Amino acid sequence: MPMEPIMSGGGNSMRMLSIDDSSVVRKIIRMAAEVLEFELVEAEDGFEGLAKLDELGGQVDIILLDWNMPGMNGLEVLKRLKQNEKTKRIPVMMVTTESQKENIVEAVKAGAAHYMIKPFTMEELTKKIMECLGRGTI
Amino acid sequence: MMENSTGPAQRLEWPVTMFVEALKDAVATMAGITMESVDESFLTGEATMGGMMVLQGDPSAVLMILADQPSVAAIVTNMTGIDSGELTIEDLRDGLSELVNMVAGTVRGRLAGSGNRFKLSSPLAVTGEHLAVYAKRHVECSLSRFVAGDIWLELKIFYI
Repeated sequence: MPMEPIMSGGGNSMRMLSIDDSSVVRKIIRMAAEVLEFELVEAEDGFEGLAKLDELGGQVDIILLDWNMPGMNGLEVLKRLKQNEKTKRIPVMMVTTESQKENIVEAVKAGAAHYMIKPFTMEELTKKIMECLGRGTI
Repeated sequence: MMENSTGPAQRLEWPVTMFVEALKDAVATMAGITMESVDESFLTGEATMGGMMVLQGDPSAVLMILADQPSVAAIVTNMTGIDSGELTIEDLRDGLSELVNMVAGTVRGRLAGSGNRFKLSSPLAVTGEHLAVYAKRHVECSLSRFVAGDIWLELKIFYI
């Protein structure tokens, strides 16, 4: 559900990368970025996400990553991110329907900072993003 | 709650109530819309969109969510905050696919601890006039219907 912007001043200067093959999920994340007044970069799959990160020189503050995507799944993308010196410190939040415990454990072992299971509300999403950035609750 | 079944329902093994609750929860959480269960005899419009996934387990099943385009548009509009006039048909297909994906994923997660496991296919979407699903007579099917104002959804599980 839509929310009004909740960060004052618009001076967060945060850049968020969303890697998700669903146009609807990317639109939901776009809405979260507007609420948080973050700059958003979008990618439709893992290959595009890694390419955009490379173009940006790894200058991204947080990555929201889908698990089930064509070509390269989110876990593989996560592993590649954590093996790269330029990207290994970027907090990654998995955004997925994969709610089984072993999936969560696997993602955390691979370096995921947070894990967001669909369905979620906009409030839950923005709160998790801020937690992932170490900014606590909003 | 009213789950309705067609065919010999006594042998159904999947917990239909879990799928029903997962669907209601997904629509309420993502779109802020409270869907109410209605009887099978409740007249809905003609389905023009369907989202589906194959659940491969014991038994295997096809999970389908059917609706008309205005219902899907209303749900996706509430999910994304984007006016329905600006949503493309691809957005609607994608939104319905995501909804099926969330329902199946939620149930799979809830069943994981009970040893009742299944694999999921990628979600698929179909669109068209006079959309109907036909199955062989021996294929059991559970049917659940939901409404919220003018919005309606059908949840079907075919045991293949």
